[in-house]
Amino acid sequence: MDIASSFLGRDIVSMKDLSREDIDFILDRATEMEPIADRGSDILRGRIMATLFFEPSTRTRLSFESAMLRLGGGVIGFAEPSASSVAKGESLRDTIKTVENYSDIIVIRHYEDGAARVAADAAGIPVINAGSGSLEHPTQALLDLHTMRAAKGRIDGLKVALLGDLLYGRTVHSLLYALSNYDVKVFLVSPERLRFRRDLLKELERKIDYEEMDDLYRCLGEIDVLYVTRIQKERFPDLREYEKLKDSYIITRETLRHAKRDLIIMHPLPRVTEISTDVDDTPNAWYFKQMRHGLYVRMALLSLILGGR
Amino acid sequence: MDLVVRNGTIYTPYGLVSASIGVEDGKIAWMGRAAPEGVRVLDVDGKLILPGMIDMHVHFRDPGSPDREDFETGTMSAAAGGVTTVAEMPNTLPPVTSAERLREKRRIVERKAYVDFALVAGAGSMSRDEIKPLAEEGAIAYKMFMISRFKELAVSDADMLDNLLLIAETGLPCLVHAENEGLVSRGVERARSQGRRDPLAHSEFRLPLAEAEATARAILLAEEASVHLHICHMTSSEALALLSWAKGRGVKVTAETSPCYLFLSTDDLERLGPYGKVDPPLRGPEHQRALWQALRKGLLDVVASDHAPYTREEKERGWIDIFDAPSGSVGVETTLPLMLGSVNKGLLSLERMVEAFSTNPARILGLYPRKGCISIGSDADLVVVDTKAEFEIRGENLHSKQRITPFEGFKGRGKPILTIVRGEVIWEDGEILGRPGYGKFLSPIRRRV
Repeated sequence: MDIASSFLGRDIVSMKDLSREDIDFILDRATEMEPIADRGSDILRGRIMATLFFEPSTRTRLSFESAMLRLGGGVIGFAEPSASSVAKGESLRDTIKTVENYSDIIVIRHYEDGAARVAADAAGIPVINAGSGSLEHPTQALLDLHTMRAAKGRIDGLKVALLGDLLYGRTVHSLLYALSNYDVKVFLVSPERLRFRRDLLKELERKIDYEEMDDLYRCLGEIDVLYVTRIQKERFPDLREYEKLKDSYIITRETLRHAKRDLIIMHPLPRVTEISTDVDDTPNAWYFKQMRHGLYVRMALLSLILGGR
Repeated sequence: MDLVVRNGTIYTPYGLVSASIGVEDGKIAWMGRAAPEGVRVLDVDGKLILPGMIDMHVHFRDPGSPDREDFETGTMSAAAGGVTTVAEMPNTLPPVTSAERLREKRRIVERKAYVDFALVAGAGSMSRDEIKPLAEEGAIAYKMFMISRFKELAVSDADMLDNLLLIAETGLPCLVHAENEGLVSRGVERARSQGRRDPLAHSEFRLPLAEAEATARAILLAEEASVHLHICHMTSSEALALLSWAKGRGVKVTAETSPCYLFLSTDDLERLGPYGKVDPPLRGPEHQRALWQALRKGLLDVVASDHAPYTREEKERGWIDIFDAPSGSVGVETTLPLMLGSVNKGLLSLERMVEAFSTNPARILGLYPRKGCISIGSDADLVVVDTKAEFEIRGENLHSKQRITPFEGFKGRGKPILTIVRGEVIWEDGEILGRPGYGKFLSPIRRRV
């Protein structure tokens, strides 16, 4: 079976389900989507995407909606679980069973680990995970890779620092899995309290060259990519703990003086204070451009899974 | 579907897409190239569809001053200007300084509103015990005046910090009119003692320093209180520099400017007389350039009209003595065409325009994504725009009670032609089709109280 047809009807639940060959194929397809994103197309005319967001994330949802519209398809869904029968206690499985009658593909976001897998198993139509629990956000990881490749021309050989909250941030989990398919060096920079989960790191141990540290300046001079994450307030049981750590890592123009000239700075957004606004005008700032790459990657996935030409 | 808007060019933050929109129960239930069946179908022939504009700074004078404006005329004027949601200020009579007054005002204006509305609560020196109850009653934000014009809404520095600390607990933003009271009143005294009463005197003696000083003070106090500070009608390059500094420091601060400061300057004062009198005053062209730059960069978050009507009689006094005229101008109906005209001229991108006049206000007021974007599940608040049609602003066409606008005769390309609020067409090319009482009272989607 050729690789394109292997995507037909496939679920995208976890980065772990994707081989390097799969990822490269998706990224190539995403690059092909760039001109189509501008002019629009009829590739998925008559196909319908349902968005089920059990947790608010307007940015991701709008990106999926926009991707589907650009491919000529249609979008239905609900933004808040309270707007549907879920609020009345309907199980996720039953919701999926209902929604699949009206749509060709489901995009789901959920606050529980494993929810996207449950949805994918229940659904007779393909499911894309748009973020579930604290571990998985595969489309974000793919758009991060696509951004790196667009900026640097390659992924192999890059030195990448993941900075900030590595314990709770689901984007970094998926991203580290994604990067483990490439020949890269990763620096995991976080406060002791927010280090990457031990069990997950163990899984990746043999697949990726990494180093942990709490001081960015130990790797700043040699990295090509600095991936900054927010320290999410809602994940802390104790607010005082949050206040203590939130300003540990703030990137400013001064930081850049110690970095390679062509360092790119990425961030899954929304940014709070981790990156000072005076960095926005520098050529190093790639965090706004990242959004655009999200559109390309999501268009690529939708067209591959739904088999549009 | 209850309503289908076919053949639109839909605005998304990721660029424009050709699609149709389906509405059910007032919400967007479908978007796609194909058009589903609808009870009512509108074909907009490829025209641009924007999310409804959100004017987060209007004064509709209701209750209290029906000769100036009321909620019916104010919201009609909004509808005709593509504005589907307004946040209305608390300096009505009586001022909104208690939960009971908010409830009473809501009761009065609810049956008059053509568009959705939110009410801003006062947080002056007198309203400390009422701050939390106001949030519980559904206030969208608080407003405080650092000048003493509205007694019950003004704050001393000490009260300001205490109030900001209480507001921080509600999770709502605090809007401020930032000018230094002492510097402003000394300026007026000085002008009078020099015999100056001409229109230019208002600007000349009311310094950017007064604005900058109060802006700095507000920022420092807000940082201390960890509250979301929103600075109203920013006008000067000095204040912009402080805003940039504060944002760089990570202070939660946003700011707005109004079309008066973007499209008018001290060069227009002689011609406009009292109709160009606003607070803070119009500034020189160098400030105007700085404001445009800040808006393009996203340093300025919001454009809001500061629609503040006064009667002709009240304004006309200013021709003899500018200090006898009240400050304020109408604007809720003219902001969108003016901004679209600027987009057409290349002064501003469409993305920045929509962010500043719809998405960011929705975010700041806690209404996003119900308002401020075109997306599945959002309220079907839409403005259809003919980007090729020419507009010309004429006071006689305004729906406000006050029909003298400082923008008389302004022309440009890009004209709102249809306004939809929650799936109902309420204004179509010159004609009001909505009805009073249709507009809904809005409280924030999420707050901490």
